[in-house]
Amino acid sequence: MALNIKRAAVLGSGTMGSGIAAHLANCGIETLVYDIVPKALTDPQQAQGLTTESPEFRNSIAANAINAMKKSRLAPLYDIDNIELLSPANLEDDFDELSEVDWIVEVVPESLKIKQPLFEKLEGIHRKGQIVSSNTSGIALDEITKGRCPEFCQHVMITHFFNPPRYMHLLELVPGEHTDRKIFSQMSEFARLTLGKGVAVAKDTPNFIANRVGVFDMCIAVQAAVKLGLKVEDVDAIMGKLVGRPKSAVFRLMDLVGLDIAVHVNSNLYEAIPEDPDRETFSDNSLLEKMVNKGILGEKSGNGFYQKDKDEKGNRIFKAIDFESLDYYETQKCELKILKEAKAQDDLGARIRVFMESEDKVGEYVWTVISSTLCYAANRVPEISESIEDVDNAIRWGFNWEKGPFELWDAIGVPYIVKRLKKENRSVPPLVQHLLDQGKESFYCFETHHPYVFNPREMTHNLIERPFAELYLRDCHQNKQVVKAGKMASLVDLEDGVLCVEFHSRANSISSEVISLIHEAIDLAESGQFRGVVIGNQSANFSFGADLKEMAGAVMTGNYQAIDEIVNQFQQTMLRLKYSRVPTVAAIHGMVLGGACEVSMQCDKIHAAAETYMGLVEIGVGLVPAGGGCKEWAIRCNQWAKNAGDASSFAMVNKALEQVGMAKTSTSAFDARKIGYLRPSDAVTMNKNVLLYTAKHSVIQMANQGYVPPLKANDILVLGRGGLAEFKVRLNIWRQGQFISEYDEFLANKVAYILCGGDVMDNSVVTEQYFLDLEREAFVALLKEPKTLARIQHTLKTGKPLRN
Amino acid sequence: MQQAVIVSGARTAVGRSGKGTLQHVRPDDMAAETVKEIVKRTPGLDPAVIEDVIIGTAMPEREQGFNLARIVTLQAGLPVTVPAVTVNRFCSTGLQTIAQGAERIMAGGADVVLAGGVESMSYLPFDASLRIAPNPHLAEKNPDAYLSMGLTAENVAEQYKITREQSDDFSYESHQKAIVAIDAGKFKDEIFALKVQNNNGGVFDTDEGPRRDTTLERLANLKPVFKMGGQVTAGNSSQTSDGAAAVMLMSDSKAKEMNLKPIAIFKGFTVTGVEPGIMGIGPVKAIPKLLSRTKTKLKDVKIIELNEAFACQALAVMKELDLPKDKINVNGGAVALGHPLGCSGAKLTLSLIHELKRQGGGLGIVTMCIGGGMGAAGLFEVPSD
Repeated sequence: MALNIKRAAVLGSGTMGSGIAAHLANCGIETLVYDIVPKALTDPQQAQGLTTESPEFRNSIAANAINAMKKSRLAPLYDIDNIELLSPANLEDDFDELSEVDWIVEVVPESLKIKQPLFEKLEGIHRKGQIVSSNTSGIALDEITKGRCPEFCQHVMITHFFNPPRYMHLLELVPGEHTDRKIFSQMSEFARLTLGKGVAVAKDTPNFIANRVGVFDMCIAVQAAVKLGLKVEDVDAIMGKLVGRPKSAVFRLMDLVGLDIAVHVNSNLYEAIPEDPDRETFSDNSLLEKMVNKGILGEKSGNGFYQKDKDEKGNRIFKAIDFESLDYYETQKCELKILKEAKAQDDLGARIRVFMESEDKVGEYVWTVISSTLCYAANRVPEISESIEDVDNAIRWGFNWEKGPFELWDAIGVPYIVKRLKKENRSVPPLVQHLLDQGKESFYCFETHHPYVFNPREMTHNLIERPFAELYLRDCHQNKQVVKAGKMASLVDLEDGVLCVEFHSRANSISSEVISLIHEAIDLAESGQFRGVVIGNQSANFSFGADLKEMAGAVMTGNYQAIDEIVNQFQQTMLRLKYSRVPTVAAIHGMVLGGACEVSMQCDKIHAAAETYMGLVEIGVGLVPAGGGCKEWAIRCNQWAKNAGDASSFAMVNKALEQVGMAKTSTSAFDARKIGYLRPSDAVTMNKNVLLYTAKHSVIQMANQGYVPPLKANDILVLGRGGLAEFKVRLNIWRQGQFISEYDEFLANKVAYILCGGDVMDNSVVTEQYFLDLEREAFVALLKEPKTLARIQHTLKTGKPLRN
Repeated sequence: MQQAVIVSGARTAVGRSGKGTLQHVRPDDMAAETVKEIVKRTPGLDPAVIEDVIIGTAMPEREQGFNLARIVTLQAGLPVTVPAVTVNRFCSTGLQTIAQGAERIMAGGADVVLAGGVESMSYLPFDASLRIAPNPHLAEKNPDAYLSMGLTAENVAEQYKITREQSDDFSYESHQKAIVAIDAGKFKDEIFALKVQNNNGGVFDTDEGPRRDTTLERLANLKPVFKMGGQVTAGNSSQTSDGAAAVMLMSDSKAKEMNLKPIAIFKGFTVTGVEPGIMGIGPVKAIPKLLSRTKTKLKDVKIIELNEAFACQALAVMKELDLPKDKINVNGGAVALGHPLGCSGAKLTLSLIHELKRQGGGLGIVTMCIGGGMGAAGLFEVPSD
């Protein structure tokens, strides 16, 4: 069972402290935010008449941090209203109140001199059962709790969040020598289910897992680039998405982290690991130090490995640094032939091998960096973690890599790497040798329906026990539960009578193949083979919407009849999602745009991960939602108005138009609920890895309850001409205020036309199919507009919307 | 023809809408208290002799609907025999009612008329929540008929080349003049103390719009509200406000008979139309027409109350008509003091009369632009003692 934490306290309101506090508020936890009492009154405080005794002054550091959450560029809160759960406090006056909370997180500066006395004081007010944790990223827990009694230490552990806490999935949990096992595992469940974090259990060793391996990788990546004389922008072009890492790759990431911070972390780590045979890697910071000495610190100083600038015409340009002279030069688009060759490979391991086999500096670079990091990771278990899986998870969740180091060993090929290491007379990590000695060639394997992973202590493959409520499609694939495999989607048996429609094309786009698979899934369920259908997948994003390429193809041939038919098919399938005899549930996460938003809106129920960005953004590509999206809004507006006892749904339709007409997306699932994309009956799941499980069980529950499909909506009251005139006036005002372009106005008027039920008398009553006809008509007509076609072309080419 | 004179008048102090002292005071209550006060300020008047009550508002709906004027007379306790009519000409409403009453008297249709205006922008905000139910055909043909006032101001600024800096300077001065006037007690006589629940002894008697902490820098930092890259901000627009104002009009013979000394003489009123998209320029047409109809020369006009709907609009009017700056809004304008739409015309008339009196009498003009594309102007004379 997970701990039940109702109230918490965060000690320290700096970047990490306030980020953690905000995330606790996200999870509905009342949180006291502590900081020190400021030294002196500021001028505005004095003008306000505050004295050094006023609580407003004494709590002002924490209060300012809470206030800043409203303005932060990367919103730390799912819903700004949750800020009410946070209250400011100070460590002098409010210390005793700490005994009242269920969990205290220490996020004070990284210094033993501060942490040790604080923990001594905390011991003084500690209440049995209360968790105390430190967010330290480098200091050993045993040092922090030196001199504390074992009773207190039972409740103490490290909870290491990654920045920004809301968005980074990883939480490293580190028990101390005396930490109570039961409390620790309850805390771990709380972190996973309530905080929605991916938990990796680390050992109390310097920098724990992610930063130990990740920092090593960064050091090697910088040093090798300098040694081989590669260009900054070329390295980033290679080391990003193509090798399964985030776009920030190497040097952009360094700029984000801050070069001074990097030097500081590297040298601290160097000092802390006298036994590490690879420690010298952390000591060579010559380039970084040279840059820091010149005041080049990365993003925060405005220049790092990159510098933003403007050319003579005032266009924005990017410059990069020359490692020798430290002068900046204008970057060129990386034109290396190898990039194209790698791109042609769908498989990550194959892509990395393409680079490694390149007989030039690039090949040498990729091989050096990746092989060194993989060997380093293999040499550091079980020292830093008992679990290879935890190491992989930590790197995936903490550094946003597509695969962790051991998964990469498997993907690139253990024998492949070992062969080359031997050829170069480099030592093969003992762990890898053990694996090979047992006749195995991968750290992970799947046998007799179950996943296994190599255990670094027992040196055998042990069964992987997935945490409670985590269900993985990759396990289902391995276990041959695929009912039907398509190119862009598949039908997967989730067991217990639930069938999943899994999208798996590049953007998970919805093509006619996907539509017919949804049809087929409902057919299978209605025929009695399944209880119901889940639409869900476990890619980075749920789906970016309808397949524009397919649409563009039909436009090229001028076959508008065919387009009409495709759209009609889509609409009728959506109606089946809504009215079939079996429950349908959408499990959504990440981007849920356009057609994907329409799919989910028409399922019986949505399970949304907290990080869900959904919206009908069709206007961005010059179209209107035509898969029932406008129709659903109109029906919902009608329903809301009826429920509120309002005679007119105008205010609601106005809200719908603001969303659809401005192509807005939600900033979280909670925001989507506020907007109305999620109904009160839809559910939010904090941990995206639990989503599929909750969706599956929703289907089972609905089926067990005796599923009753909704009644057909055939009496929808619409605003008609009167409402439309009102929107026309408003859109004219937006356009004249230059908030939208002329073509946006034209498109938004089309949306308004549909939402109002077209050119009918005020307060007419229409049917669902009537709306769908309006949607389809508008959609097909827009595909004849040159500006719409220009928008589609632009998006297909660049992935970004065009505002023409 | 009879002469129409004003024998008394009163107004509430102007509150900030949505957050100020009057935010929970109903507009009909505000107006009823004003009516009672004016009856009190007209010695010897038997309310039964009032022949009509003309009260206007720019939003005659909900709390300002149901023939507001009649509701106000009944709430004020006037005899049921006193009739009442509600008038709407948007921002010139308060001047329109006075003109309408005066002209009825001049035409011999009445001897005693109470006229004024009221607006609670707290109760009936003029914002995006407002449903204007436009005519579908007109919305198609001429959507500018329903353009937001802020955008019409942007259009005026662009067309008449008024800069953001000029607007902000003008706005800053408006605040400074208003603060000086309030501190000198210049509005004391026209304002009556309205009973409210506040920390000032339950009395509201001071306009609360002017900001003492405003600076040119603060004004310059505000973002344009109505147009991306535009110049109209919350700081250089009139404030949205709550307030009521009215006057007692009489024929000069009736005033003489009752032994009442006129505080002002109504000299004339004109209203004209302009393109809806540049409504702010309305006074440019209205003032010359007023001068010509009343055969008055601009140089003989001592002061002008030019409603500051937007600083840029006021500046454009001044520029086009070459109005002398020192005669305009000597005690500040709506940017600082607020613009309770339907009340403003009557409020400005009272302020004009009291300022002219301080200056020893003379001629003055009240003028404003009007949503939908109009301009109005009224000429008043304050007799010298």
